[in-house]
Amino acid sequence: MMSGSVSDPIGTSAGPAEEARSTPPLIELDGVVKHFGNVHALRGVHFDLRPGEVHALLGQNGAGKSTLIKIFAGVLDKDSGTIRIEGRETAFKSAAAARTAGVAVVYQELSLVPSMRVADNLFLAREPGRFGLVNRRKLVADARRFLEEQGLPLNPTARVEHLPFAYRQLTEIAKALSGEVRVLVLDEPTSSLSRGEEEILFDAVRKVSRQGVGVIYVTHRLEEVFKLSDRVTVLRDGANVGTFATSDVTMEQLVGSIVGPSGTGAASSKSEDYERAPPSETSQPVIELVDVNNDRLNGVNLAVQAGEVVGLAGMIGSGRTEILESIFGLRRIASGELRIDGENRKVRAPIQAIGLGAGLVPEDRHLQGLVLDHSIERNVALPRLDRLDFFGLFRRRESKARARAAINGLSIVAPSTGTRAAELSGGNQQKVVFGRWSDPTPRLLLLDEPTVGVDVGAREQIYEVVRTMVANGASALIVSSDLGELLMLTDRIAVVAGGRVVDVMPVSEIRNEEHLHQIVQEAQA
Amino acid sequence: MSDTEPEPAVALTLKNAWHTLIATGGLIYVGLLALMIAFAFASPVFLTAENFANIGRQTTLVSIMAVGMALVIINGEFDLSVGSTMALSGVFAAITMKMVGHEWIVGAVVALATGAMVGMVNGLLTVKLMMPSFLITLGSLSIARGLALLVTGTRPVNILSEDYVMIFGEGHVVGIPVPIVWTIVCTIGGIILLHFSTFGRKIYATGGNTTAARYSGINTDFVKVTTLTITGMLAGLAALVLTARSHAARPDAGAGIELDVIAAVILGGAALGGGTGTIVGALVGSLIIGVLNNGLNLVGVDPSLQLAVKGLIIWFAIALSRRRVR
Repeated sequence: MMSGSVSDPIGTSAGPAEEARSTPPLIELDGVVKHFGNVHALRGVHFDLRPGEVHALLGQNGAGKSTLIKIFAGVLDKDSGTIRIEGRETAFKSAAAARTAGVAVVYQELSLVPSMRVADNLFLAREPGRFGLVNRRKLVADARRFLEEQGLPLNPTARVEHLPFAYRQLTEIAKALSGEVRVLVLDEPTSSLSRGEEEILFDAVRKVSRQGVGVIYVTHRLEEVFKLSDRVTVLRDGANVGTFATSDVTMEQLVGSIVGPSGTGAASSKSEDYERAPPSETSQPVIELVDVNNDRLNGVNLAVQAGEVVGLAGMIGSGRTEILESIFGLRRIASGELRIDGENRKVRAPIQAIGLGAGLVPEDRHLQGLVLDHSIERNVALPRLDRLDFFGLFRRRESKARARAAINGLSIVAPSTGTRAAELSGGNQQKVVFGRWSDPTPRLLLLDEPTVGVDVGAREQIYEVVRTMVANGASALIVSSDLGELLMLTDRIAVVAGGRVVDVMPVSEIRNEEHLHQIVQEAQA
Repeated sequence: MSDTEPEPAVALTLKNAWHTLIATGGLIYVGLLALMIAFAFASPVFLTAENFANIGRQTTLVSIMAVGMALVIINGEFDLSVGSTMALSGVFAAITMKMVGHEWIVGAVVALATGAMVGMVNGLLTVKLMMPSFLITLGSLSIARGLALLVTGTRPVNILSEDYVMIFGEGHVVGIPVPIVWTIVCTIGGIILLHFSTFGRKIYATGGNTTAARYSGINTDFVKVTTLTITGMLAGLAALVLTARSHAARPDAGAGIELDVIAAVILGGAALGGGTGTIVGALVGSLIIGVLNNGLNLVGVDPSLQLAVKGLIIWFAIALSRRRVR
């Protein structure tokens, strides 16, 4: 059994800092091992967290992050190794024990009751009151006071289901903080947030850590590591690659240590690395929206040329997703024209949009993309069922061959075409959603947050898939909160605000991510 | 969520076999077998060919409707109205036959059309009002029964067509009683539709995740209306079998049978939320219900107690079969 940190390819391992010796770490793991059957999920992991520190935890899907988090949360028990809380050895036997020790975990899947108010959620199962009756006024007052103390910009009487995603996330964090919390674990909190919303979350995290709480921050977005964290620990294949002070390490070094020597290491590839013919200016647009109006759009004008990739940048709720939905027949167009190849079309249902050559990768792969309980084969076949039909019968062999081709073509890590989608990691699930559109390739790809919650390696592969499809003649319309991703993938960027396209510019006119961020911010005002 | 956690390897082969059994839904076959062995010991009559023919005949109504109910439940919907629909279809068939000179074909068409019509109304209301089919069919359960009682003045309607009785109730095809033949036809049809047709894929996808199915270009409303219509039509077929066997259509027939049908489908491994289940499972589920009804009778359990015992056994079976979920 390996223990402690494995060889460090970068050579910048910080090791435990000297000043921290005096006060014991908030939480310290040593040689923690966890097996699932024959699989070593953790092979002797070391980790420590200091008071007031934001400690990023990085690694590809399958590196052991989730297992580690579950051990922190008391959901899983380690097989061997030690856990010390403030120097005292502790065994987390249950989630309640972890909670008592002051460890709070905010999971990706939100644990809120959507139909209840923020205050109700904060005090769920411990409402103030007497004789089983809830003192509703005190509940709201207590919640308000607490939120103010924590500096969280939340309205205690807002219903959670009406909140934008970022604020639901904040509610989740507020709920986690509402006990005696010394260690806060955040599992990919920004995976569905837009840039503006991220800042709200970062502010909250900074405030919390300033109060002495240690924050363990799991993410796939490396920029966040540099913005927010003091130290970084990288896991690979269930072992430590190393722990670094964030200030001592570069983006390239981090990517290298996450992916490993055999990895693709392609995260640095930018749009200039890949060549294709620029879309011809004279060609007819593949799709054109002329003054499109509906319940969420206020006169959208937008055109995508053949072979062109257009990015839609904007805040959540700006109408960017709704533009894709309106094109794909998921949202009725009240007035205006949707022209495909110059012809005005009424697209009333997705099946028509698919028939006209559109393909959608929706924002939420669990809710809108996949049937989680069904096999990869079934999921890949979904939008192509009618092509796989033979006089009413389903061509199973054909479908299986397609699924196999998708698994090979997109490097989906799965034992077989019969593997359930639920058993795949986030990145592989997203590749399954892409796999549906690989044969035949749609003429217009509509991608909504194509790499949300996807690790670095899989993200690169997804970019590659998009580029290949575009190289083969597809056009694409991409919505992303990751502005760097937009700059890398697209030719032009349309800025969306208030249900309209307020500006369109070629990517060459945008200096960098910060610049685009600023443009998006200004567009809101 | 990002790490895949494999199942712990199981060393004991016996335990292994148990897990496989649970994972594949094979437990239900063992359950059926165990029940039969138990009844075989308890009653000397149970293991006779005559009794098995009895079970087959008694089970046909539940089996035929369980095929439809399996489609509906896998589709993520629910149909509480099958019992009433069956009664209404039978009553309409008997009345129209009386009016047009006892032609069997008229009865057959009317029964199937009535069933299909009720099913289609269930489906259209479900998708247009965007209400759970559970509630919509709760209404039609009452309406169809009420109509059947109203048009007959609560009295049974006699059936005089010999052909009708032979084709749906008392005839034999190569020595097999026709009710069982109809069950086999429905089962094979259901298997082809659900497991081999493209439409079957749409049923599973819609039940597994309606939103994802919609986003993939599946007309989920059409799928739902169609499955509910098919189920209604199968209730109409069950009505033909029932009325042919009793030479009369009773407006109060099949009250409460929907519960047996639903229990059969759930016992057969279909998830209440939709997306999983099989036709064969539903059929075996209905056989379990049939064997239970028959066996408890033979063993001489007090009829009042029978219902409670049946419920207990269904609880037990469901607890076992649900183990594989999560």
